[in-house]
Amino acid sequence: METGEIDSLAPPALDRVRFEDALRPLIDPAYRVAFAQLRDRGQAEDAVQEACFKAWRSFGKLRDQEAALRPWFFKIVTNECRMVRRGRWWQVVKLTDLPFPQPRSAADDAAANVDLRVELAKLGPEQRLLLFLYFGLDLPFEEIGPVVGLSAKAAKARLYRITRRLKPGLQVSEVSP
Amino acid sequence: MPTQLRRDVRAAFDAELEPSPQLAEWVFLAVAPKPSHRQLLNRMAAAVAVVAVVASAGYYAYRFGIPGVSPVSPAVDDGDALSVGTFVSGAKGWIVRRGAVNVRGQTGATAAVFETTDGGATWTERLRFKGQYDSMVFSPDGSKGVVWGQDDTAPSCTGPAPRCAPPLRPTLVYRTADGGRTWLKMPTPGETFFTGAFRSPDEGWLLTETAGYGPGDLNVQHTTDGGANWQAVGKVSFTGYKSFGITFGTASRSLVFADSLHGWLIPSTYTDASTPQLLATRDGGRTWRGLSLPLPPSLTGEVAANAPTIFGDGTGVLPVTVRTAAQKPQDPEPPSTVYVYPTADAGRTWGVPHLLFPTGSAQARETVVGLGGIWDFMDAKHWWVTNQTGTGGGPWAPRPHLLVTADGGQTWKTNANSPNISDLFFVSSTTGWAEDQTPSLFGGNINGLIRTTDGGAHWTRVEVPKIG
Repeated sequence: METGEIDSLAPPALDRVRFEDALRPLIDPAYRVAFAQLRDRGQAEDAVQEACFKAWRSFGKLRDQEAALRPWFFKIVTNECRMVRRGRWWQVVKLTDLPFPQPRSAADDAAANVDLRVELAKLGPEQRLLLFLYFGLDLPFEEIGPVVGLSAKAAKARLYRITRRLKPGLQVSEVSP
Repeated sequence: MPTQLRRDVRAAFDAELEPSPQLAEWVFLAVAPKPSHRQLLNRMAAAVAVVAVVASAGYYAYRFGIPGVSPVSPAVDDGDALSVGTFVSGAKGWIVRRGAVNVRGQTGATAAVFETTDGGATWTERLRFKGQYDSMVFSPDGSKGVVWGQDDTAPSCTGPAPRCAPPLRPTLVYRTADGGRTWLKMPTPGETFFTGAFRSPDEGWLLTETAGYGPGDLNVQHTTDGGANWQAVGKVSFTGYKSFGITFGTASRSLVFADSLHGWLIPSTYTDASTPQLLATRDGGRTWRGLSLPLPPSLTGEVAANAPTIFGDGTGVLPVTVRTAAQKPQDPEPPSTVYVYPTADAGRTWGVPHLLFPTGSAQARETVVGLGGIWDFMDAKHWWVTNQTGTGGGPWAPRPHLLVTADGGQTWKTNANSPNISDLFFVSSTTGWAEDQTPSLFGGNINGLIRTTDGGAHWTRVEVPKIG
């Protein structure tokens, strides 16, 4: 039976409650992390869902380390996003995937923000991920580093370079933690 | 209060987001599956089958040496980070492990220095401290050594920048004079560590800052007694990570001294060809100037100087990476060309550069990707260069190449199926150590230690100890 197969892989029922309690607050941020990289609702949802399955099956290993749950889970999500991107080579490019979105209307956004959105759209997924983790989720570099596969120092240096590319006249204090 | 930049970036991400309010419900329904999720289970079963097939194929590829599969066994993730310290022979060397650092708000994780004297067969813990390791230097016989890093035990600032000031993160210096059996924690200047360099266990320099991360001027501190006494000898004018138009970062090995007077500060990014390529001092760090290297006249693009290596006889090399310009921001980092500047007077002057890989050679098409190539210039003749940064590509990427020369770059040999090397330490023309990277199941890489005794043609995995 299908549920039986899953249960044999999964931690006990009590852990399921713990898992749901621990992971539920992370689902929306994780979706935003995935969307920041993939820019496609369906793919971002799939990535989070697959990541949850993997997290569920490995949740037992994380016992007593719940403080590490967020970077661990975001790392799984990011890995899923990479898998999705790798799978894209055979897909038909949809018009909505074109990388330079137009502003919704002139009144919607200040010109500077439109420029920033266009510049963000030009960045690669890894660069967008780093920006989103730092600016969008306020994560410290000690937590960002493991998610992006870099040391905290290297993540900080890379973020600095990306931000300078986005805003050439940037004052450094704006990127400091 | 969030900064303007933070607000703008958030707003830009928010503007393109398509919300998915029901996602949490779907996810937890799927984790507790019902018969309607048959499709999901089928996908899982298919994934398990694919993993099994790939694992079998991988085993046979590894067993029979099929190109495309790493020639060394994978590094095992034991939860501790690994930094390769230094090696003085094929038998003797040091590594650093650091405990879990991926917990929010956790700072000052425990680091431990381990020593081997039998080529990595056994390891002895020599030093344990709380902080972030930067680098180490040992005397050739391994009796005297100094290990330095940053004391990051002060809590991080986790809120928006203006709400909390950057914490003081001073330098840590530990010194041994008996082969690592006992260590002294040396006094250090009460300022935040930026970068440091020791040219021997006795003489070293630190760049420190008073204002925390995002520095104003950097203070140059000098010691000639292994850190027992420090003297502030000068300043590097530093605004927004820039000095003389060059951007610098805090990476280790960004400061290099050839002798007591001559040193360089190495940039962390590319600059256009009209900007000086690195900072140089001729008076032990008292004064600094931008050093403009004579660039090939036909050069177009951006350049970045890498750390120079000065050999025992005063000769040396300064590799300079040249990157083609006009790349789109979303493209991967383009291949770079490397020029080597020679010196015969320990870096006081630099001669006419030549291409790392000679034009017309079989290796001329090899490229070093990105800034800070992974290479080891052991002496004027024996050089090893890997052709990719070693930080990406995943298990299915083409194998990196390790290029070896024994005549100062005139002719090269290519090892086309190299491990994914991220740092190299050769102690002789045949024996070397390297840090390699194994892609992790959850993204990122697991660092490991490998060793060669045939000049890099073959490598074997060296098991490293975990912090006990």
